[in-house]
Amino acid sequence: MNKTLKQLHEEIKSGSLTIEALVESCRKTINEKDGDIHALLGIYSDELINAEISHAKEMFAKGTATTLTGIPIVLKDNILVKGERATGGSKILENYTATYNATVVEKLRDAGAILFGRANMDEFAMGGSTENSAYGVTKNPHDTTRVAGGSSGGSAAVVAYGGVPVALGSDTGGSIREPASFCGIVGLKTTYGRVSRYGVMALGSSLDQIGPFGKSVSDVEEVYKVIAGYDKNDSTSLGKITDNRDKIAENTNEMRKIIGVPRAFIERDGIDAEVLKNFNESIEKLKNSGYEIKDVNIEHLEKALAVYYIIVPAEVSSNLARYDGIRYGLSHPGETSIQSYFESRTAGFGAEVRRRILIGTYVLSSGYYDSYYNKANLVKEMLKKEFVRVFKDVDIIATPTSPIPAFKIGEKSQDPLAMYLADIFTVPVNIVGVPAISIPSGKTEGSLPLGIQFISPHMREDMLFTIGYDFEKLG
Amino acid sequence: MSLTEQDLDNLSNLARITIAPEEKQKMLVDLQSILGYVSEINSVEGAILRGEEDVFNVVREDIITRETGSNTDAILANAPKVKNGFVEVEQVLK
Repeated sequence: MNKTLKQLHEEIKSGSLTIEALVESCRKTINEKDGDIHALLGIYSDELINAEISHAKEMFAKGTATTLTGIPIVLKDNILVKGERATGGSKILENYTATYNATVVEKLRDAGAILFGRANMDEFAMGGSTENSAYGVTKNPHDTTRVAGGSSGGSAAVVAYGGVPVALGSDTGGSIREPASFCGIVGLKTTYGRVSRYGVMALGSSLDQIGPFGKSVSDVEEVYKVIAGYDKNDSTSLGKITDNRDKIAENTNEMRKIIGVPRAFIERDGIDAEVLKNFNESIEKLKNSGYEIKDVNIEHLEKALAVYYIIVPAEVSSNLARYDGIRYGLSHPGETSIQSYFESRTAGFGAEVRRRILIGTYVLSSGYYDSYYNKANLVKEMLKKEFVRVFKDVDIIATPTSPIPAFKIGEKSQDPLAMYLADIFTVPVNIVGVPAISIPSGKTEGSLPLGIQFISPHMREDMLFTIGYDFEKLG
Repeated sequence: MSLTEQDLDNLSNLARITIAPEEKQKMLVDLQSILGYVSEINSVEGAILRGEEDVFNVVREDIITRETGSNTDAILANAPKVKNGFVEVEQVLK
């Protein structure tokens, strides 16, 4: 599956490839490979898939086909498809059937995509390795002793091994970009509010964004164009934005091709030597191809991870209060209603989820609220201003996507803080709300994929695609 | 930053999650280490100037947009216990 969406589209249009054959070849690859990798938690019902195939064929017949028409796509298992199972990687939703469609699902349907299956993930997207999934870890297709990254590890792995051309994940602190980097593919986190969150299970609502995975910048852009846009069902949806990047570009500054590199932040303890070397080589290539490189200093950048691990647990403790075993989900009856909450939640939530709920409960409790939650929001505002300031001088900020390549399964699962530090370069992007993309930048000597992260100003995904295409050409 | 076992019990009560006795020590160590790390933001000085945040309330019209009852069956199908079209729970007042 190394063809781009545009190539597949041309083949379907010309009749040299049928949609049925494409779907069948995906099924075959998944049957061969997923036993080892465990990227998927399930395939959607035949009823759904067959209806979508018919719909896609109709669109081709009527001449209304889009680039995504007839293309199989996998969704992270926290995105709701009506009538289909959605577990969020949690035991507490093991038997949950979605009662409505996420907005991204409606949009993909309208574009004629074939919703194909559900991808494995860390429980409720909490983690960076899928080791927190209640259904077992997803292995890295490049080295099955290593993690695929997370929390959208299943979405990244299934695209990387060629099971489907594209997939959706969600990114709250790096959960699209880090697995994309670990699996050697492209992953996009959009501007906060650009893609509707309606129908995605909430983790940190003020940070969550749905975004695409693909093998090329072009494929990711094609999916982005379909899923982006205003949605009245998401109160944080960006309103006055068109999802046509040409129109956005018309109204804004020309790209000056200046890249900012926060050197002091990148060259820190704990960054892998090969990651740093690869990053420096990538920057050198961009410089030689006409980009200007500037060293930038972003005040409080190193505080972003602390801000993140206050805001996310706080929002988690509120968002996950809904899992009470009464209306849906795992239910362990107790003697009283309150006792049922304790029984159901204790049986249904894994260790990391419980840890974060407790931290969230702590930082929101009376007496600590000011020194944690309010302080975190202050630093968040300061960081936003810093990014706006720095983006006056540069178009793009570049960092490695992750300070380390894919790590061994089990290596960090006993030390939550060590796991959190793998997000050091991706987390600030969510705190500030800007978009960012991870693009493959080469491999380690041991053949593990590495990724580079490009960050652009709010609502300038177009700049990410521009530099993405340029970077891909540099090989 | 020091968290006592009593603090942990209070938190788990508030969060409606039971921490098994054999889990408590590891959970305390993890929470201490995370809270110790995030406490570094306390070194930042300043205050948010109200009105400077780019956030605002979004409300929708208070109207019913779906036919009453059109989703009831699908929603109740997920409930563990149902009786006469209602979710059934343990008796609250005895």
